[in-house]
Amino acid sequence: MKYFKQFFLIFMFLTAASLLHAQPDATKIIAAVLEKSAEVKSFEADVAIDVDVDFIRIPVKKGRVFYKAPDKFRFRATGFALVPKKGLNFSVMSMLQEPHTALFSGEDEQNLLVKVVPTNPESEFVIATLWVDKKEQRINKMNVTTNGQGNYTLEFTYGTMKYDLPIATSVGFEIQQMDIPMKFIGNLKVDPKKAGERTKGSVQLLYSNFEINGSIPDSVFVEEE
Amino acid sequence: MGTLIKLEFSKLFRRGITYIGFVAILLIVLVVQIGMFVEGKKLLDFLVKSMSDVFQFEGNLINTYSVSYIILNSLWLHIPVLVAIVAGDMVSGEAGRGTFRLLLTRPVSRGQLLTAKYITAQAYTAMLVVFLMVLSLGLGRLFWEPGDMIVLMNTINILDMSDIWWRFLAAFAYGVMSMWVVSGLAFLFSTMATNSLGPVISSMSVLILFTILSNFSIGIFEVIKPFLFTTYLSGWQLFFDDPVDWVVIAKASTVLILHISFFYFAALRIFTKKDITT
Repeated sequence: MKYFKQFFLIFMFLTAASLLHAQPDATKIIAAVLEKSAEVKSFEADVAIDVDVDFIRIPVKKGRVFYKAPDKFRFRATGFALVPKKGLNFSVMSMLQEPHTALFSGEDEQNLLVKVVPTNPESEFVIATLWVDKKEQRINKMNVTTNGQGNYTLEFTYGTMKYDLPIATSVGFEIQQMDIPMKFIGNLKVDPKKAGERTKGSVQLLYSNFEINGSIPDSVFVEEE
Repeated sequence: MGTLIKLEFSKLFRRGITYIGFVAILLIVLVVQIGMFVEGKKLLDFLVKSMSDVFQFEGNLINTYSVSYIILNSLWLHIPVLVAIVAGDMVSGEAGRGTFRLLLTRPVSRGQLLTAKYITAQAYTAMLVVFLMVLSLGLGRLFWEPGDMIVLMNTINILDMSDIWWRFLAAFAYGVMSMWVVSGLAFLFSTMATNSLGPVISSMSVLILFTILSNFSIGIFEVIKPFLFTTYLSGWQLFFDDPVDWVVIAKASTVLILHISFFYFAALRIFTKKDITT
């Protein structure tokens, strides 16, 4: 019986050690994702933005998006467009470049799950869960809890390009219900009980006609008055 | 009939009162345009504040179309006053000036004369609304570029600029029709009076009373609301909804046309039976 107990303890220790050894390093996973994304120094692409929020009706807006590393971004379209602040590929990468602690938290058939907690208390997000593709080392899905601006989710669909740029992005978010007491500009019917409450919305971004790592003049990113 | 209408038009535009409406609209539109030019950005920021957490805005929503819509929304209550001033004077003015007996010695029937006056009054009303359209959209081009339009209509509707013009044209056409009701009412009162002030004040009183009833959402008023023309005066806004509710527009248009017809025939009956003493 005594030998059996010792054998059991040694077995448990070795099993735990081997499991610990097999657990992927979350920091390395994030580093790999960042390394792959860094291959894209600039890109431009056509984009169609479809906003789905129950109190906003806006037609699908088409335009062209421009990006230049590290953080220059511009969307150009005729007319007015609502561009999601969160969910553009480069904004995700800049989040991951912040100082953080990464923890491996499991896996599914296709992805490794990593939790990212920023070390800076002033950071815009509190925690992010990433579904990182096991084979391609790119983010398939992301769930972010922000600092006071609700949660949002991102889902990326990739095409057959050499670079890891999504051809479609789905952004799910929370948005505050409107309560506008301005009769002269129209008549917005909002349930007073719901005014100010957060409701769910989503945006689909469909990209096409990519031009990657080409030369984009800085003048493209200058705001027009 | 053509000659009679021409004569009525020449009489109409020789009176200073006719131009009050045009001058008032010009001034109001100018003031609103300048106000929006100075403060429009703040208004928009307030409007879209709750969206700015989630979205960044590309393009400008304060533009010719949005400002024109704001002008219409704020001015629509005042146009009836301007319309009633002229329509209310069409028949009673002649009676007050004592020119009817002389006028009716000519070989025209009372019906023809009244119809010519009615057509003139309604044409003036249409001119006033078209002037408002040309001014708000045309003057707006001096201050703004065209662009997508923001409308609060049950939801926040952002309309593509390629989808706006037909809406404005339809809204103004509807606006002409709704103002014809007000003009018809003032004209009806005009056939009953011998001074201009009475019909103007009477039609305005009816308008105010009916507007109040139209806005009450209780018991008995709910029953009569569908029959009041004031319920449908702001129906021009329906063309800026997405999708447009054509059934409601058709119903509203029917009620307005019935009112226009009723006011005309009532005025005709009163005028043809009237004892002309001046």
